[in-house]
Amino acid sequence: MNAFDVLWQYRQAFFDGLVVTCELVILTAVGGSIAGIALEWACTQFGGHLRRGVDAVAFCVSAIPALVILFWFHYPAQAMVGVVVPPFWTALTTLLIINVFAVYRIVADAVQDFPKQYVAIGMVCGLKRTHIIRYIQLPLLLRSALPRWVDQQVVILQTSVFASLIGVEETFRVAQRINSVVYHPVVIYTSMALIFLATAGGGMYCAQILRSKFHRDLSER
Amino acid sequence: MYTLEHVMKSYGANVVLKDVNCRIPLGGLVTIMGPSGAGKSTLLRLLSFLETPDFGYLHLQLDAHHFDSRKGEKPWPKVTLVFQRQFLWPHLTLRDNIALPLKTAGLSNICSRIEDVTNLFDMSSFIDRYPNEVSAGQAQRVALARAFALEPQVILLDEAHFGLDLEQQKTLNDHLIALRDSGVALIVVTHSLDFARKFADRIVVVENGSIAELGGQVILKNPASAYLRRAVGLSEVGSKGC
Repeated sequence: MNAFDVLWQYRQAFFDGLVVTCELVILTAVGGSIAGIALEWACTQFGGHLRRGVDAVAFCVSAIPALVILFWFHYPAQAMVGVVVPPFWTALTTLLIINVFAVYRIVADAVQDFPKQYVAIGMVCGLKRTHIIRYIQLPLLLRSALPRWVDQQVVILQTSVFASLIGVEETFRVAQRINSVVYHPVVIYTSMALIFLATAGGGMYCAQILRSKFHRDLSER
Repeated sequence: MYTLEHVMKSYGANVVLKDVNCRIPLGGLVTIMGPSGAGKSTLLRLLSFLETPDFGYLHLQLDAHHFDSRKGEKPWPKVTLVFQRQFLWPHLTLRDNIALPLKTAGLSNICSRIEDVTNLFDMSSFIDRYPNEVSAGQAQRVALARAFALEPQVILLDEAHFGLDLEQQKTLNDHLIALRDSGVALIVVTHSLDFARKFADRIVVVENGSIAELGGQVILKNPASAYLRRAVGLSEVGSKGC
């Protein structure tokens, strides 16, 4: 039995697992991106203390391993408040928190690195504020932030396998369960590798293309 | 005519301009000179209305239009500024760099304007490249062309000759003179005494955050400011040495 035979025989189970993984990653990507951008916007608007606070939390979240945060939410946090949350939502909350602060950091860095001179040029050339945002700031910020954003979503996809440890029926957990039935670890985990190569690898390749396409040499000779 | 009354500008604790009072008539080519850190670029940013004075006020009269720094009115793009560096948007081709301000201004004859400035500034061989694909001199020319295409009455240039070799400097000077002759008032920050000698109709000397001297070519013959005396003295030593 080779990897493709296993994939075919348990296609429904793998498909269900992939759906759960996709739900986790897509909800995290969309929610995290919106909230991360909103957080950066709020910090720009209200500045000072808010930014310092958000920076401190972002630092802590990026320093603590995802697995520790996941387990903290799964056991102590729920015990403290006396609630039982389904594992899927616990995993989603963990991934969302990680992604919100990561996207915040990506956008904040892009905004911070943006040369103010480009805006000033637009102003003295008579461009309206909306034109400057639409034609100068947004395209340049997107070019700067997009490759890092894609990389971050790949990290989220890879981190989502930890959800299997708290019982979320995502791809990796499905693979483990199939392995416990058929016991073909080489074949099963090769299948997993192929699935992640196709998804995470595709994302990484996409980020690389974006980086080479958009990260042109911005210096002027 | 620019009128500056008791203009002060500081960045944090660093007072860059202190109590500047002067009138700068428009027309021809005005050079702003002075040692590094004297406040030349800050003065230029004030004249462009990109920055406002902390104290005092700046007034600009352009024909029948009046612009007052206290009222927040901006004279763009009648008055436009060409920066020393990072003067082109890097994600747009040089053609689009010129076209964008024209398009957003809703002008109709954009293509012919671009063709005109492309020919005028001799840019047809590189107009469709990106800013990072051309030399500093070519990029400087495009920035000047973009400003010129907007049909401004005043163009301000910060360190126009920065990073240009002698040939590029000559080309730039030719274009500046052509612009001046076409009726555009130019205000150029420069360290080049030679440029001021050859082309300046008026010279403003900024020293220690204030206007040390302002006048025609005559101030180069009898300099009163310490900076200009040093600069003229050094250039004479240089020419005797040659």
